[in-house]
Amino acid sequence: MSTFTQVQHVITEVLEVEPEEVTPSTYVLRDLPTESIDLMEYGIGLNKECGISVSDDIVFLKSLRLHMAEAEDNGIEQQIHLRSVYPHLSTDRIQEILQTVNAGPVLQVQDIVAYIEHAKRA
Amino acid sequence: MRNRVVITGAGYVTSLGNTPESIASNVRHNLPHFTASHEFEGCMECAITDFDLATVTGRWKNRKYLSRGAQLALAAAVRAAEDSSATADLLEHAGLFIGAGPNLDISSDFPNVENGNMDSAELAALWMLRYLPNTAASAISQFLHIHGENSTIGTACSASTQAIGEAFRKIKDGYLTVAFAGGGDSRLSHGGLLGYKKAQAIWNKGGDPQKACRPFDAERNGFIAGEGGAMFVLESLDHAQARGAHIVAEICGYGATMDAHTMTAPHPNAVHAEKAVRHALLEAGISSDQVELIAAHGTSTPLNDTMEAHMIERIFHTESAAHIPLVTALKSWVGHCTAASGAVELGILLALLSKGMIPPVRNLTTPCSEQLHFVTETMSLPVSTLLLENFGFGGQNSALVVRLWP
Repeated sequence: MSTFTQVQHVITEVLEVEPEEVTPSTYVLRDLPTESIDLMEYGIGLNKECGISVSDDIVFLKSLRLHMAEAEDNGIEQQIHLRSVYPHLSTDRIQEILQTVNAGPVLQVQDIVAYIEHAKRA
Repeated sequence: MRNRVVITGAGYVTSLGNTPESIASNVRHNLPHFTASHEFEGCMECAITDFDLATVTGRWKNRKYLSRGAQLALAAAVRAAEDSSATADLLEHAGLFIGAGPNLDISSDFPNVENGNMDSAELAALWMLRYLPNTAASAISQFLHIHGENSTIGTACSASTQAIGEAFRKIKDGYLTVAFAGGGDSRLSHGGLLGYKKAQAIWNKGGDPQKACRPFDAERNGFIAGEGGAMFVLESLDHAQARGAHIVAEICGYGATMDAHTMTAPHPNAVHAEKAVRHALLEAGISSDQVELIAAHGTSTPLNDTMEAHMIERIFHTESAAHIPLVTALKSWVGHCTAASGAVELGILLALLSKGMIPPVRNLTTPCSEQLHFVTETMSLPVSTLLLENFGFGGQNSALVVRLWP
């Protein structure tokens, strides 16, 4: 089973939605009825489904804006700082996140998949 | 401000069925759902076999946080809202009063506890919601968008009767115009049955499951655990008439007391249970000989039924009584629905009376009281004024006087 299918299964189980509603580019908090309690269940579900104990803060980009502000305060380029905080995200994806951050919560299903695959490789 | 309080909607999920028609059919054909327990040899249960909350709620992500009792309460509440033709505005201002029991289905969440370690990969992040008493209320309020004054009542087997009584008082005294009241509960799990088995409160003699529940009979020897949910829409008479609601019955009086005697057994002389009944009659403004039908708590346990029979004799079988009420016991049809028992029994009784049927006490061959007028066969007498009695572990006593709307 692919990592995406595992993540998709976790989300559909928690939200009781159809698999078709969960694609790699689906925004987890904008396109789906995800609430904060659901993120906790995703964390538990990912552990069970993938055998990986996730950091909720990192996998769900919970402190993204905090880390962006940190970079600014310390005079570090945001792109570089976020890459160190979120090593599972590609440079292109981080660039995209920075460009769309004002449109709403940026977390996409593909970001969770990237986290799990990164953890599996580690 | 003193309002008259009426019932304008009912929803129920019971082992006899979910509609007046199915309940009447199962009573007419003597088809209660008592079976031998899979959990404990010699014990029986009375389960709802075809319940699926999704048929009521559709897909809803918070279903996973509901114990079976909370699921039954939610299903009943949704049906009550439909039955009362409740509008969004009515629901927004409605109160919510729920009788809830403890979730004892512990082994479903913790099947492999070793050395006290309860954690497992299967355990949901918010597993504890299934054990919080107000989760049913939270789910009902979310689903129906109810925002009014509310309370979750945990007074054991008296709980849903008291929930209805509290809602009645809130409307009567002018704090609310509309309220949902009732409850849902199930003890049909390993933990639930183990609790009552250890307490020696349930039937454990095996035999024919259909014969085990026998309230007020000399051979009774413990209750049969059941499950169910029932919710009612209560509203002031003025409000109900102004919106043209279908009025089913009026709640006329309520009484509740505590024994302050033991942790489980009822007071042998039923002194305080009697006070609860007398208070309900007093509040209803009726004398004891105006009650036509008593829905007794009738658990089929040696202690309760002796206590209750003697209490009914004292209140209703006086020399001056012009009329003696009939007595039925609905647990002989659905088992003991614990915290939900009062609401479920009221729901079944109203359903059957709407079909012109008074249900008998099943398996009553040698009554423990010579005086009481037990219903032993289905009757079709017209009755109007009802008394419901429910008592619970901890010395909880409650009674409601309900009059069918003409």
